[in-house]
Amino acid sequence: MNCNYCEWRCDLSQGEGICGRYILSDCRIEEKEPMQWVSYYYYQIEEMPFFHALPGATVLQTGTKGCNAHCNYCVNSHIAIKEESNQKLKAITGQSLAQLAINAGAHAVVFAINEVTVFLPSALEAAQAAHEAGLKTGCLTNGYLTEESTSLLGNAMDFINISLKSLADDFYQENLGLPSVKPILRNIKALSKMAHIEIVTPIVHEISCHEVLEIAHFIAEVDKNIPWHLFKLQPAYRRIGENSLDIGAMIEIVEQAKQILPYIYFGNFAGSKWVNTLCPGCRHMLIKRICIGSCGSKFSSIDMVDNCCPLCGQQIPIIR
Amino acid sequence: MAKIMLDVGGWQTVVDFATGDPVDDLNDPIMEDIKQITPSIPYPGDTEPGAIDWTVDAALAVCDYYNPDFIMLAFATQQLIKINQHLTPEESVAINERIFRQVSRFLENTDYQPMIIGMGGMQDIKSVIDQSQLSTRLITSMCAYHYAGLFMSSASDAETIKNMEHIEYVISKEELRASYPDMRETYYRMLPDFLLMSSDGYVFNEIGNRGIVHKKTPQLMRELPVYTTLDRPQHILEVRGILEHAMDKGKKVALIMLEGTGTDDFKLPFTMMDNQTEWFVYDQGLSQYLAAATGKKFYEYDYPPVVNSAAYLNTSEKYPFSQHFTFLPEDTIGRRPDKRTAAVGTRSGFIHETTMADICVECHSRQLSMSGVFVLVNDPKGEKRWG
Ligand code: SF4
Repeated sequence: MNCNYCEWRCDLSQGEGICGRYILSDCRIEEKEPMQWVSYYYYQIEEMPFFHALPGATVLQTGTKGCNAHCNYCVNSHIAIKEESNQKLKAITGQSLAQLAINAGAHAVVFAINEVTVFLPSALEAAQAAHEAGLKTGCLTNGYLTEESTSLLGNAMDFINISLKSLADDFYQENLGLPSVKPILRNIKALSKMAHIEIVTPIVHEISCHEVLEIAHFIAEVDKNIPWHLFKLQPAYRRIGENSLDIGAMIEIVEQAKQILPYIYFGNFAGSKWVNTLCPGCRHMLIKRICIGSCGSKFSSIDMVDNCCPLCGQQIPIIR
Repeated sequence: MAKIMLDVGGWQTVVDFATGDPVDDLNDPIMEDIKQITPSIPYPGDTEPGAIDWTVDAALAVCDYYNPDFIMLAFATQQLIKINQHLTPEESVAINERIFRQVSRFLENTDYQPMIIGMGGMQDIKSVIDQSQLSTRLITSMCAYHYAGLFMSSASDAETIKNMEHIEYVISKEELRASYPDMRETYYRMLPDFLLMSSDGYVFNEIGNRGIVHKKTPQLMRELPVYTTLDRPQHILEVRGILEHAMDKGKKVALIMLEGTGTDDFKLPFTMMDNQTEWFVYDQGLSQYLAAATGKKFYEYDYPPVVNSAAYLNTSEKYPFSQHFTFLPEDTIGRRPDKRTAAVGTRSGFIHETTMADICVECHSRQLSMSGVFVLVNDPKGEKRWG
């Protein structure tokens, strides 16, 4: 019997699938540890990163363990890839997660520590509880879902950050252990019609200008208003010790890509000046952020009137 | 204006310390000099043993450039590695020995009189404190391992914590204010409803924010080992006074803080000094740094040992590169107007947040993810000659 949560479509009658998070029980595919979470913590939504959803809001971030990909630069390999012997998950109901969020003044529950696909039923249940409690929901995903899962996810989440590492199959094969990027491209198109989406491209390696511009063109074809985060990633896991990205060279590429997409951000390193939202019409600073380091862009101030630029009146796509 | 220079793998930018805004028109010869120095001291990473050597490389570079009368060297690498990684006994010993070798290298290459403090050894976690009877989670902090706060408590939670196992001390917000009426209003406002101190080796949470299971935890040390060629402190709160007194006599002094080093692995002849004020034990982390740099008691600081950090995520206030701190101590050894001061180390944030020295050089990391090198060139106090 095949699991249909992601495009691996593992045959679970043969044993554990690739992510190890689903089992076959009474001829049904079930999560191994449903509604059990590795931790929860509060962050500003910009740290996820979401720049066009609930600016400045506190969110409760949670997740489980395991992943359906095997990125050789994974920054969360202790959860996503390597099983820690003492890593116990904690049972928390969806209602309790929502209450914890509300108690801390959070506006949303975001599933972000590991890949949401490997705990999709729990995420859907917790998202429903969060919605019933008046909260918004979001998640991070690598996008390697089946069409069925994509539809479930898109209908359950208010905002989704999809990681698009490259447009090349061989990049995915070499660095993530995934056979193809095509399902991810398909799902980006589908999700963009169901929820607010942002795209993040982690860059651990040198990336060519040509490739950056190609990705920008792909996103623009889907929807020019999708915010795109170019994310400097510190080499970790199997690539620890590698030279990290040359920021100076990347800045020049980012400037070129701005001709294609209006909302491009380049961050995840301390002091980045490319994390503010400027009006595409008149370049007025609409949302000011400060990048304090890894995953650390923080909201500073907003200057908009009803989602419009106060100077030229241009409408800006932002969920508030 | 105080400024921060951030060096991320050779890419450099300067921002205003208070606002975090980029400083485009630099026009600052000191910052220009600092920009030349940092490329030669790239930070290896929080859990890289090479970060121990980095502290001394950075300290020597600062001494060469600024020749401070006071310098703090903070070695956090041992604690960070031992909390986050399983080590063999040999690896564990090697890390500690590397620290002492590096301390010797610093002292052999300079003319500083040292005050070396072992902030406490590392131990196995005895147990995680059971919070299942509480309706909410206790708030903990990586700045204070043995402390937790109960915020927004219900009557039943308040009752439950009084009977929880492995809790050494519980005090309510109001009891704290009644005991220490001079505490600042901001300190009082940020206090939890109840502040809890665990017994030695018992932790409130064995998992970091990113879900990494902690392998060790710091010892709760009521006394700390100290080695010095200056007067011997009997209490951690005497350290600042002794260092300042020595500076008054024209000596150059180095405060050397060793996280993860206790009595068993302190490689120099040491004496013990008290490390508590009444019931409060200065924990390996922020409170020990503050105690040494300010000489003040725990209730005289700007912030309580545990704050509800979720309430302080907004950076629109002051000092966005200084965690939840929106005001920083002014009465520290580092702010002395008539002496040059510096601080260097691998405890991101605490280096400047506790000393407020003229020049602070730190790693810049978040949740073990390395961002680069952070240099604060503080507002000079008094008539100091730079460069
Ligand atoms: S979700 Fe896991 S078990 Fe299911 S197909 Fe994907 S990798 Fe296999």
